[in-house]
Amino acid sequence: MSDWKRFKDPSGSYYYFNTRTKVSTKEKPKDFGSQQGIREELRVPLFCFQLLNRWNLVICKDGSKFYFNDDTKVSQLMLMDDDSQSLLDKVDQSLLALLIGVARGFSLNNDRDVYEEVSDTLKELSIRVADDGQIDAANDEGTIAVAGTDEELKPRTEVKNALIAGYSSSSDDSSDESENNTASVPGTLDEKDTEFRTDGDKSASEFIDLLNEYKFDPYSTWNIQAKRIMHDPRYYSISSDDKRDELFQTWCSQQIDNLNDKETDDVSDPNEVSEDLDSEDNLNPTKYHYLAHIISKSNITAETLFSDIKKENKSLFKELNIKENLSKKEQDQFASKVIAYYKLGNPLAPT
Amino acid sequence: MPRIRTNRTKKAPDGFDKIQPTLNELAVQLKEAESEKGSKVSSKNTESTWRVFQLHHERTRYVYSLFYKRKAISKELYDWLLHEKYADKYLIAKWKKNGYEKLCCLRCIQSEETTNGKTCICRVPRATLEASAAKKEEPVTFQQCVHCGCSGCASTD
Repeated sequence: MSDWKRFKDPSGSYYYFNTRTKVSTKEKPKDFGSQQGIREELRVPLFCFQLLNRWNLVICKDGSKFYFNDDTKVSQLMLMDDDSQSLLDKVDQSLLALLIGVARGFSLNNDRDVYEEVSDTLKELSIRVADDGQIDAANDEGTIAVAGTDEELKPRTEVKNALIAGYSSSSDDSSDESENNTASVPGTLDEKDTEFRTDGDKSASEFIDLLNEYKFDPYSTWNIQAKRIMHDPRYYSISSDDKRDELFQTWCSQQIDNLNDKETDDVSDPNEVSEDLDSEDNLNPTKYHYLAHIISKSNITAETLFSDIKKENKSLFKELNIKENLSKKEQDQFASKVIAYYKLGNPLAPT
Repeated sequence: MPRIRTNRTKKAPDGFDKIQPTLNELAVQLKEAESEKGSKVSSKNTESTWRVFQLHHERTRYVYSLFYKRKAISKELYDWLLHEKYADKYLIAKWKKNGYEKLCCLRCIQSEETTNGKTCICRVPRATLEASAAKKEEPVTFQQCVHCGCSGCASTD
């Protein structure tokens, strides 16, 4: 890396300053701009590991990694081979992170060869996987081939290992993590796409299913109930909250209809006697019914007042809730009319 | 706010126990909104009551939808709820009228209280706001009204 840095002077033109020798010039030094070249140089493959199905993991000098297929000569940033992926998952992640750190220039104090360690573990794992495969489809030649290629690759990489200059490593395992994240993103995106593609009716019915599933209270408000299902992805199948509210309302009315139907069934089912009682109740539209009945049953003389009847039939008044159905004024008005009718001589009444 | 219950308060008709949990939940929310301290900035001093207005609207809407939309409660219970002021009957009366189906609060249609003798800006349909803004080549600046924090309650919105 060059020690030259570019600065702006007060007039606006650029000048160059060497941080080591403390020299400044207006002319562009030869070394300046060579950083670009170094950066390109950093993307040189440093380590190579044999994975399964002819795939290779290649780690570059700047810590980045890609996968290369020996057969198809294709290199990819993401591993599409499931077998190799599972193999990689078995390897200790911290060891891989350390390896990337070494690739970026991290020098270990003791003479520990991380590349050896990783390649050994990979070899072991691949043999084990192949052994498992042997039971099913006997192919032990594959493992030997794998081991062979691995050994062939080693000398080349070891030479390069010696070339590593002292570059400081900053975030060792960050690249690993970020790659894992990007790998998981596409799947979720696809799911969302398919959800959006569905037509309105389908999402609506799905939403109704959701309401049924969570056993919502049909006597509640949407704002309160919505909190319970916000975490569910189906909640977002309908985009606007107004529509959700509408669907909830219709669902509630349906539920309540169902409940009412059940209740009426229960009432009508038991036996005919209860139905008769119901019909009697239905034939009782006037609120004066019971009061008129009480008056007609009591014996009325010329001096009888409504208060007398009240006194005599206190228990009946209470039993039939006359006080609650009729106000005092209404009672008096009605009773005076009825009593007057009886006093004048009802032709039907016994004299 | 519902009326304070006394000995003279009539007993709640049947079906009240089904809607009581929701009413309680709304009451808790209202209590929270009341106890919240408002901003000390003078331009925001109207905002402290917005949540109260919102909850009032929500509870009234709840009772309204229970009776008229879901048909979940009896006329008796509905009348009782109105009498005990669980719902604002004057607001419901407006909702039954054409063009007032989504009215946020009664204050926003009190034309006597405003300087120009007109209703609140939240009553103006969004399309009209956008059209007039487009004429002046300005973006729509209206977001929430000062009375209740409504962001537009025209029936077309």
